[in-house]
Amino acid sequence: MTLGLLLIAAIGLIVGGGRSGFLRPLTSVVMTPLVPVARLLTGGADAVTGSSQEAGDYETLRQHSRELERIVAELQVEIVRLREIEQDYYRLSELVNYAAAHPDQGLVTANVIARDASGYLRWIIIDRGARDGIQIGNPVINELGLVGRVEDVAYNASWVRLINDQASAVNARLQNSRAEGTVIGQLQGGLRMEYIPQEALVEVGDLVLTSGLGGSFPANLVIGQVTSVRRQQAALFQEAEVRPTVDFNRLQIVSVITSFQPVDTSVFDDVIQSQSQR
Amino acid sequence: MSLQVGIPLFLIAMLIQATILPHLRVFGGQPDLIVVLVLAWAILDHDREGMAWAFVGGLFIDLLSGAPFGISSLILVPVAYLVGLTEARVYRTSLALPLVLTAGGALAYHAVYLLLLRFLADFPVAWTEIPGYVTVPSVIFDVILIIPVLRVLSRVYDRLHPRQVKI
Repeated sequence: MTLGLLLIAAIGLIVGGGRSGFLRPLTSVVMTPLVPVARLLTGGADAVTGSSQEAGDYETLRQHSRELERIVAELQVEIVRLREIEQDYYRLSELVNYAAAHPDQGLVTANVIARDASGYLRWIIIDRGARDGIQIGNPVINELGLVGRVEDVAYNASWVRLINDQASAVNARLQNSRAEGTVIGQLQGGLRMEYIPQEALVEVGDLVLTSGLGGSFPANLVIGQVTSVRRQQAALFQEAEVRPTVDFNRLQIVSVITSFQPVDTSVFDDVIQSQSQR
Repeated sequence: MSLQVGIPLFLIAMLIQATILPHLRVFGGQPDLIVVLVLAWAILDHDREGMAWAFVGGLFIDLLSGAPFGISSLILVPVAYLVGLTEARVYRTSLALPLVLTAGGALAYHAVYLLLLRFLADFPVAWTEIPGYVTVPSVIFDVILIIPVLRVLSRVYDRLHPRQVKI
């Protein structure tokens, strides 16, 4: 009998139009709380089933990632290489500009191949020598200013004493006051300008240039900038600490001035001659 | 040490010393790789060979230096002789001895080097500042470096001079 009733009820539902029929209000009430729960559960299930698909893609992604990492590494190397080229280009273009501005000077560009390893001496070795026309005494510069002086020459290499070597002395003058002195290298790698007359006005920030006196260096090569001044009443001269414009620890390309017009000192010839006659 | 081993070894050491090691300076001091090699060989081999290599090593040092050519050889040969007076066997039983020998040898090398720079090259030596700024850091580097260098060179030494066993 129960079976009969149930069968009749089922048939009645079918005939009655089901959910969209007379039972529509009832199904709506029941479904209202069920929809969000069902959506949540369905979404979770999709996520679980979807992850199995992504797991399949994971290896592909890892491969992509490895490939991208390789490309990034290659690009980083390329960037470093291009930056080096850019810096070399900058240095060389500055040296070309210098050469163009000083047609009276012969320039030979060289690479720094080694440094004195003693710790006491500040020398570099460059890959140009006598075969390139370099001679002992030639000044050495880079795009920032004066570097040093050639002290020894082989056929294909030269030894250069940097201006911050303790045994280096360069005749210099201050750009603003025109006061002259001698720039001497310091143990810690800095520079000190000594023998500046007491009456000269020396200010922090003053530019220090080669004076050209003595004929060892061309005039007006940049040496550095005054960072502090020491003036004592009892002393004959004042001193100034000078920060070099050249970074001597990062020298890579330098130029050797193989010929230049030294400062004309012929005006003193008569004085020297008359003194020697006495 | 045979020429085939010694010359390339000192050549490589010279290049490293003049190109890479200047960038590792602490204050003004840096490892004296060739000096350490010479001292290590002198510790291991107390025969004349140690002095011969000291001479060669000195030439390699001066080749890429602004110092008068030959002064390093001049200093290293007697230093190697003095260091070589100790028996090689002693090193193998005592770790402190090579450290002491290296410190003494390197210190002697630096002191005489400065003296010769002063009197041969008229180099203005700031005696009050230089020891602390250059000499001491360099000697400390050398003492640290001697341990691995001795280990490597003792293997070379053992190959070249296999121990004789009486049967």
